[in-house]
Amino acid sequence: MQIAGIAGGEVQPSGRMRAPDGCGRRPTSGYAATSPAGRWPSSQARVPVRSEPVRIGEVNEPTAAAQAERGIALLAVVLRLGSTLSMLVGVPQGIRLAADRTIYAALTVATLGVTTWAVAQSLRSQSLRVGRWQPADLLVGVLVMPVLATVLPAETLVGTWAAWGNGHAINVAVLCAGYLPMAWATAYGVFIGVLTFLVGLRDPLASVDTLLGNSLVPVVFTVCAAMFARHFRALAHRADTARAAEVRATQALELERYRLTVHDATGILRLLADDATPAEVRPALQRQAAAEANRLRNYLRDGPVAGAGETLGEILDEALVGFSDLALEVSTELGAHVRLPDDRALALGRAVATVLHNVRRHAQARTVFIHADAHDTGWEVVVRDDGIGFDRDTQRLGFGLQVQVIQALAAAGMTARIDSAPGEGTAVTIGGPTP
Amino acid sequence: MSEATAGGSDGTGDPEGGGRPRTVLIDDSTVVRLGLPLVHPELDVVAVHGSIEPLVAERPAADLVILDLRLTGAGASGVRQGPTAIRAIAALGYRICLYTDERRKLVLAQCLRAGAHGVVHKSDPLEVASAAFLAVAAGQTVITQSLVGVAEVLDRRGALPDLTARQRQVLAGRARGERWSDIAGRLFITEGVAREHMFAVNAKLAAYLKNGSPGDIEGLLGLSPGDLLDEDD
Repeated sequence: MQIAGIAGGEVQPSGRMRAPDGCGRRPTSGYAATSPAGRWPSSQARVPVRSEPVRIGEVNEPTAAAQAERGIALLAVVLRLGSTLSMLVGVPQGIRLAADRTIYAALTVATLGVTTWAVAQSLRSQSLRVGRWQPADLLVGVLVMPVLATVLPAETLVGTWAAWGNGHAINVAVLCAGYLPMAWATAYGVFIGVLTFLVGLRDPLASVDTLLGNSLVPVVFTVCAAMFARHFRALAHRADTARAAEVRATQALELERYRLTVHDATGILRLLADDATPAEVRPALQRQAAAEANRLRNYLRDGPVAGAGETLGEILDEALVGFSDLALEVSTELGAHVRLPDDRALALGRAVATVLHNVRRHAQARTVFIHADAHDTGWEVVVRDDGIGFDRDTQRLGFGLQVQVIQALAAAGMTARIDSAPGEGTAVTIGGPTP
Repeated sequence: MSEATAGGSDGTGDPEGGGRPRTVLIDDSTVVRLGLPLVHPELDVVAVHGSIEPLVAERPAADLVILDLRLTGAGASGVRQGPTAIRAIAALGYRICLYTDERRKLVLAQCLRAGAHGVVHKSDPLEVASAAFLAVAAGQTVITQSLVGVAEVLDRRGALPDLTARQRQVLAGRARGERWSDIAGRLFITEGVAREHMFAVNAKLAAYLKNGSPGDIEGLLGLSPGDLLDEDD
């Protein structure tokens, strides 16, 4: 199953989900196969969602509307084949009774021809609405009863399959409800009903009650078929609308996740590209860039790998890798043993790394203190720098602190508080319950 | 022999009275040996050496020994350094302030255990280093942030039962990187009082490290048996 990722899939007028470029292909064996190692991932890369992927359907899966059309077409084909089979049962008798066998046979062959055309076209296109057989079918449906009435004995016109015209005409009327507007289909059904009544009047054995009853059949069947088709298509449309909304929501969610994923990487790249970045910082940045490249590659290929949870000590150790240029003072022993579930471990590690990226880029700090502690009901991590700080009342938090720290931690059931003042450094205090 | 004035001092330095403490500087870096006396005029540098041997041999009167933890920068071998050097100097009664960029907690804890009275990083600002030198010369114990964390761990695990509630509050604040002014404001005390509380914590930490059994210390710090005893140079 392919997964619509950041580029997403969208419902096309053709009735199929359009895949983002490259998504329709079977994944190759590893990201490097489609993107040279060390290069930024191309836009063709598949971006699965984190943790449990939101699967929104096969990329080439037909839409509900297309499936509805297919269902209507198949139903129509079955009805037509059944009607034709009944017709064929009565044809030998009809040929024997017909005053003009040539006309009878020609009408039968013409009807079979149009039926074959309609069935073939419907099966191929999976729709009643495609092709040009419809006018011919409507015309045959109108002609069969009057023509048969001219070649068959009058007493055989009602209630025998030798006069198969009525059954076929009803079938044509029902099928036209699948491709004509409801009003037009109803009108056609009424017309067939009138023909049924008028032709039946020639049969001396048929009572008026019988004729009236027979006349109502095409009308009722056509209206019912039209209502069914309309309702079926409306349901399909609603399903497609819901799925399109789901796709858009998933795209938005994935875009947000993607922003979270690449935020730190962009900061590293910016510093690496900046000539003003001190030479002594570059080795740490290069290590982080390599780590980010691996992380992104793994993310793009596999999504986050669920583990068995990590301890605070392990999470912080991993998050601090590559920040040796910041003169870290790390005291995490008191909380190092606390084990966090995967989602919290992931969010916490990313949040701490983001804070440290912020410190590196903005704080001008001499020392960064990392402290962890645990108590009876929870744990706390403090990341504090002695840098220039900022005014919380006048300066809005950037994307990293607002989204990747505060919002991401809150979403994972943790809290974050940011204290800062100009010239007094910044402290980010993260807390959560003990699992 | 007084700890504050070792080596047959006449006491003229009077560091506790605010005078310039007589200081011996031991560092294998020529730049440090030449530069530190210039940038720290508050110190009366009476001797400068590249190893501890001249100090041990001459035993000059001094209130403070500023000691580099590693003394093999010039490639010399067989030079006493690290805890071994600290023990040798401390045995003579000198007060020792380590001047190093070593930040590993275990190493610094071993140094306090060996007899050092203070630690300051070479990367620290001059005022921080100066305050540390003067404090050690005046009889205080000065530790770095790394050891503040060690103190908090040991206290939480019951090794420093003598700490007062106020001292624990100050320790907790410092362990989390709080500034003196923030701690003072939060606890409604002056910065000076906050520093005094921390000095008391430092002294109790140093005393515990110096006098505690290696097994207890290793257990409390989560070390493997023998880690603390592995006091190799």
